[in-house]
Amino acid sequence: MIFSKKLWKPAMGYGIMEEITEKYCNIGCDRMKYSFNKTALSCKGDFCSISSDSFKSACVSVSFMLPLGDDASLYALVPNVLTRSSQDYENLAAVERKLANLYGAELIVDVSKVGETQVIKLMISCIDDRFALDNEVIASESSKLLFDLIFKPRLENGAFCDADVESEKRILCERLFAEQSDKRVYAKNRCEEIMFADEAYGIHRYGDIESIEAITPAGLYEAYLKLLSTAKIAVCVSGNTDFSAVKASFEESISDISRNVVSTETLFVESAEDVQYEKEQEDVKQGKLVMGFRLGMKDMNDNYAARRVMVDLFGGSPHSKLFTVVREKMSLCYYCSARMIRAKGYMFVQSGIESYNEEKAKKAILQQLEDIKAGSFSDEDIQASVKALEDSFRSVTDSPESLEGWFMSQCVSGEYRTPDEFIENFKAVSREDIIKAAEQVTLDTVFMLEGTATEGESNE
Amino acid sequence: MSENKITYIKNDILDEGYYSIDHKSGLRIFVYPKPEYASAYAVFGTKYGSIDTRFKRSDRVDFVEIPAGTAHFLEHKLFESEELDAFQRYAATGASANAYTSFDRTCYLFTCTGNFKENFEILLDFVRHPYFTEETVLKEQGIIGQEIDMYKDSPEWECLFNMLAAMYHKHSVKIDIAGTKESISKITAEMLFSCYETFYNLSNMALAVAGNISVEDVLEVADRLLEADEPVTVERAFEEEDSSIVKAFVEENLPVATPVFCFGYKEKSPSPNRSVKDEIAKNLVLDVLAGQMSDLYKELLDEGLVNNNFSTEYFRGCNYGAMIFSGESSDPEAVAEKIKKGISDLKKTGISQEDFETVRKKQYGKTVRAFADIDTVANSLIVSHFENDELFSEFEVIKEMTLDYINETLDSSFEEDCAVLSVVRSK
Repeated sequence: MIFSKKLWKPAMGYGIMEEITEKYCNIGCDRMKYSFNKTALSCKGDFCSISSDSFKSACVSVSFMLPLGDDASLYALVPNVLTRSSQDYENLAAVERKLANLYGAELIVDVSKVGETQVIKLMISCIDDRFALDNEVIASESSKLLFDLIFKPRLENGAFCDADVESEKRILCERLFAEQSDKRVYAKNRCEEIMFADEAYGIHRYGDIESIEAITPAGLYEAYLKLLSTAKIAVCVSGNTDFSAVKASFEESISDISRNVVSTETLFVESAEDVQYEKEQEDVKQGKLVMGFRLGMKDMNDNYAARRVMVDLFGGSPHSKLFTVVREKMSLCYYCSARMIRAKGYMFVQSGIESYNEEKAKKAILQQLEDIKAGSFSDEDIQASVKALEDSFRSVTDSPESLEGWFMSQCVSGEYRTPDEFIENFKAVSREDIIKAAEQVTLDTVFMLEGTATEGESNE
Repeated sequence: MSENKITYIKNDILDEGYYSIDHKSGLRIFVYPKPEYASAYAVFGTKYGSIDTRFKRSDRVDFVEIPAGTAHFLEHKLFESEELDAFQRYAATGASANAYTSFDRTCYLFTCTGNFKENFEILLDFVRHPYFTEETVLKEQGIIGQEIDMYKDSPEWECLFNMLAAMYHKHSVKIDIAGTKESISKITAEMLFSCYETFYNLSNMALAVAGNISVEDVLEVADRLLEADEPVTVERAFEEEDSSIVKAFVEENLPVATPVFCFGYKEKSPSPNRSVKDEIAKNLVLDVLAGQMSDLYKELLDEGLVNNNFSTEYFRGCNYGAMIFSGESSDPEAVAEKIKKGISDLKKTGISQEDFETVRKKQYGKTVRAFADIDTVANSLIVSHFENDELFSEFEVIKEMTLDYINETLDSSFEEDCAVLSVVRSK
């Protein structure tokens, strides 16, 4: 459709928008339009199928899970090189032509960290077979392409092709550079680096520039083989397609590999000892303040529902304290929001401020947390947070891709729960639960990026 | 009008359709039911964007000129009311709400999975009841000033607007949607009321709802809450724009690791109205020329000149249009040279039947997919209405598109003296 979202100016700061789009989740219990099923793969791993016949598209994903560590850059680069070419498709143009001929199928590579697990996901998404103009079978052709790319890489001299590796190394480095240029992302990354300096979580999901630059085609190929043999695997198929054929095809593709799966674990630090503070300066107009808090969790399920509602009330929604008090009432910042990272038991607050307001903003943000501890919020506030969470969780059922995202976000623990199960838990959260959750929050790290540009200076 | 006039428009490929309603209040309402969805999405828009800085109401004599950024300012202010603001009201019923201002429209939206009617009432109520005082306008000048600063730190945003400023002598598309700190300081409450009275007349607006909703629910609320306006039409006036560009190169220094670029070709005689056929053809040409399966993209990638951030876009609106290539590159000037050469090579050989069929197939797939997304559907209904199109016409256009037509489009696009390169790099 001819409709570009690129040039919108939203009314609210990005903070809130990001929250809304990232809180994917949800499933209508009253009208089950899909069914979820999990079986075991012969190569050890989960095979998840989500069936529904009403969707316009279908998708297949393969997730590889490894401990987040020194090899992060190697593993992060693997999927990019794999999707660049294969034995049957000699270069990216050939892969892209094939995708176009599959009615614009989309190949998506996603590297993320879930707690201290690095998740490497390769996914293909295509339109449902019923829309094919010449009765082609789009979904099974698409999954075949995905598996070919993963298991039949194009090699030269027993390693990945040098030109592909060098090109993808450059692109990955540029992506890291781009994160450094985006001051909002940069400030958040710096806060994580400082806060988790002694924990694996401090490693960026793409590793670092030096490690990427040091990668060789042979070293990368070795990492690829190690990924195939040791990573925990989850395959997910969502849409209206022949699940058993996709499963059999995947198992066939991986049958030659001898597997010895390595498990992954995440360290939970319940509370901070003292507050670390770091400040940097940059030639930008708006200052960025990021605060990292420990939530008091022993593991990812430890009192999750109460903490999630508390974080929403504190800074998750437009009715939250950070939005209504710090942004609207005090006009201290353009955006100010809190986000919870369940898989690591921490929360961070991001805000964009005038640099001279740093102390005022910090104080105001911490005061909002104190107010929650003191019980200074209404039952309507609780209801609003529960409703907001319920609303965002429910809409997960609306596309095969969001269902895939919902279930695969749980692939590390392997406990696949429906959004309804979460919603029920949110509804049971009481005022006392929220106060208790807030009491366990401790400030760990503050990072301030001070803007030094003055009016007009960075204009031409 | 005393009755609602309802038409159902169906599409056979998708096997679904929508209701187009001439509401008795004078408002056009679209309802696109998708009962299998959990969510509903509603958007209430006015054909009033950042480019509308000079206009005349049908019931007045004189043209009025307003400061840049007024549409965006008004959007911010509408969320406020004398008591609870719109966000607080939505919080009680459970919806995610927002609004946006683009070059040619302002839209207020929400999405929810329950309490649709209550949320819909809030939307209709606050958009129809403006409230602001000199004091609240003054406070907003501070908030929007911060927002303008934030965008000044965004290299992509700056790069695009620098390019537009180098492309257009006078057209208001070259001014940032939020205006400037200087321009918004001239905005007064009285001015906002006058713009509201002009552009928020129901005959200049449209409402679209998609997802898990029924036409009965939508009409029950609309019939109850929408009072008819005395119809007003708005005549827009754009200053005469010369077909030439201002300058071919513009550069700004911002802290960026990899330089950011926008390279665009201004259209010499853009039309005030959209043609879906023309727009699709231009997008297909861009895909063949510089899409991911093109020789040009392969060359740029292999030579280390671009990364997968590289993209193309046909950018158009009332009396402006441009073909734009954007991305990050260590050497933007070299990228621009390669694109120029790619264009002249492709113009010599023409687009092949095979490439045409491939990009057309891809476009068809993208169009089908877009209809799965209720927010895209609802917003596109609004856009189509403001452009006097019908939402499903794209399917027919893709089907009827010919190789000859896109080759003609290629020939008439990319005039050499209309190219502008904008770069943002570190000092």
